[in-house]
Amino acid sequence: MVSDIILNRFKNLYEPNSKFDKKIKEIKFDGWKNFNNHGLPPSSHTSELWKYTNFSKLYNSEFSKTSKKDLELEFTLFDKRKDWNTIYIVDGFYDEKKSIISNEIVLENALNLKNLKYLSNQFGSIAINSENEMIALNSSLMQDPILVSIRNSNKINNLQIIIVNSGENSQSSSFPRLFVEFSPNTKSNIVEMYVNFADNTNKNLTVPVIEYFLREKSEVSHKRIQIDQGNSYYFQFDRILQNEESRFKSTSFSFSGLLSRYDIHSDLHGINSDCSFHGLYITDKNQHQENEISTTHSVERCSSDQMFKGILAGKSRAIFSGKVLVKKNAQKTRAFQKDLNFLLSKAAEVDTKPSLEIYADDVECSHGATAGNIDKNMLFYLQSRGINKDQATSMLIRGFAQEIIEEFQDELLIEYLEKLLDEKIPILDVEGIM
Amino acid sequence: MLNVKNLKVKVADNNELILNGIDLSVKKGEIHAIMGPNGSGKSTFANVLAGKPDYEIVEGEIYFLSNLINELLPDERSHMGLFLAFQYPSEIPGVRSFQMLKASIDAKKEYYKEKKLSVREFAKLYDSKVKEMGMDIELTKRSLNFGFSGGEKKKNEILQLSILDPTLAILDETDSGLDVDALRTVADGVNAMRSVERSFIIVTHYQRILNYIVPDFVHVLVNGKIVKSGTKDLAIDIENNGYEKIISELGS
Repeated sequence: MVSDIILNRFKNLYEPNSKFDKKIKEIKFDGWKNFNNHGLPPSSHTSELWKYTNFSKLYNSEFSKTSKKDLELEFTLFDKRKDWNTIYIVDGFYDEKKSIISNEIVLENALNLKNLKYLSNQFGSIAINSENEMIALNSSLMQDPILVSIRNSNKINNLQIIIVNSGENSQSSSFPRLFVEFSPNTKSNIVEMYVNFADNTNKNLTVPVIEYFLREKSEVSHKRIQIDQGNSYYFQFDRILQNEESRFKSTSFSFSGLLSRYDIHSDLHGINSDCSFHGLYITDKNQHQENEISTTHSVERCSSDQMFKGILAGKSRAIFSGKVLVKKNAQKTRAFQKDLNFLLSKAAEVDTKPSLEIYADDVECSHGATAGNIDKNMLFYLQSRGINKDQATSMLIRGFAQEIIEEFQDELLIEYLEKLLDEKIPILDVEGIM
Repeated sequence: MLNVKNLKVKVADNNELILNGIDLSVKKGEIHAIMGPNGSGKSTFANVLAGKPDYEIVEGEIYFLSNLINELLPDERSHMGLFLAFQYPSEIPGVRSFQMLKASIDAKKEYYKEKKLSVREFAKLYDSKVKEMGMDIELTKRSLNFGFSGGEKKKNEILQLSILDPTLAILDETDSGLDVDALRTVADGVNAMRSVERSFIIVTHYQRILNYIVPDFVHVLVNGKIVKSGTKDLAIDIENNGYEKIISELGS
């Protein structure tokens, strides 16, 4: 059982009498029940999952509620794309005024599911409360769950999901929750972005959970950007269910906060489906970034690959935990895993654990991980061409990152990320390594 | 141009000398070949001239254009006009040849407080040099030296040489691993760069490349010391009789 202190703290945030749709309310109650049983992580059944996470600061924090508000925030990046569907979730609440939804996609909130009533049974079945304490916490405290259905199979559907921490409330907590359905034969670009406007003195907690439900032959190109750099706690869960012949291709970029965790899982549930999770994480100072990347091959003839790169500076720490589970019936599986790390300071630390758990016998799988410093020969090569050590170092870091950046295949995002890297890389703390 | 006096060098954490008192003088417009058996210190010498930080100069001086450069950083030496074509050019992920060379040229212009080339001006220069070298333009779009064959890597070094336009070019075993055609292309590139204002040091194990790039002087390096100097006939002698003959003469 959970300590009374922690429970009481979150009890203040819990609203049992919400007017949500009946089914969604059930998920909320179930979440709260789970949270009451297990509390904040780790518990005995999840200790391995949270092995490297230091929760002590989080446990000592008290978080406040947020309210729905109308803020004028500047999003020059996304405001450029008026032709994209854009969902703004500000401090956990859907911002209807700011969001742009064309009539080609259907969006409903949990108060009245109307045209998406049929999805209520799926909601909470891809991100499952009992799986993870933080998912249960999100279900318990989700302020404004949104359901979306993408249906047009005649064109590419573009959707941006912008999760914002406004920084208006100090020590705020928000629990964005989305469920997105992709109809058969649809093709979609999804951009997920987390932006934190809170200043360094403001420690807030954000726990988004997004369920992606890919029906047969749907294709999703998923691009995720997490820019934190603040002094906050961030735990994000993307949960994906893939039906026959569906594709999910994800590219992720994380600039870590005080404690950030990105947790993505896909269940390859229909034959001939395919998923790839690629990403780049950058940590500096005392930041901590966890990447919990997992795929379950439930049926035969699916393929998956995971490829993450890390750049670590200062006294930061990063974790890559990549898991591939190949179930007994999942013959003809192809699964690849790789995690490469660039350590820029003596005090930085990475724990990388790629793992394969295979119960089928006809599979092709591989995994690997590396962690290394700046290559002296490469550095000398660039220096011998007249490029000074600092600039050469930046070029090498930038080059290491470039492979993942290019995978975004989105001009606006690439330009944005390249600019960000050009600014941030030269000021990373590389003390003590050279 | 280059004056090396009694140069003694070791690696940082080992007291054994790799270069054991080298004296060498290279004048404007001259081509010098440095030959020697494996492990004689040829590549070390080339790398020390370029300023590789793995080595420590224990004694002696390196003067380049009348400046003592012992303590200068590799990038400063490059700005002064010294260039090393590597024996094993590094593969650098995510950095393209164009991008690196633009940064090189920019750095040099900045060093001399001159106006930088615009991207367009540089692209014009770059494209013309790529064409001259007969290189596949697709290769130059890849990460530097990634997926390049041995020959392509060496051609790429010569491309950099021609764009950076140094006053002293050191070619470290540029001929190793090249087939005859690639060797000829590389040699043509070098010969096109020959001028009364530019000097070359060609470090090689074999005489073969010297058929294409004819040196003014040939030096034989054994155990970190130049033991014999001569003209191109010395290289032919080595080709015919091997290094053994010279080494045994030393002993007697």
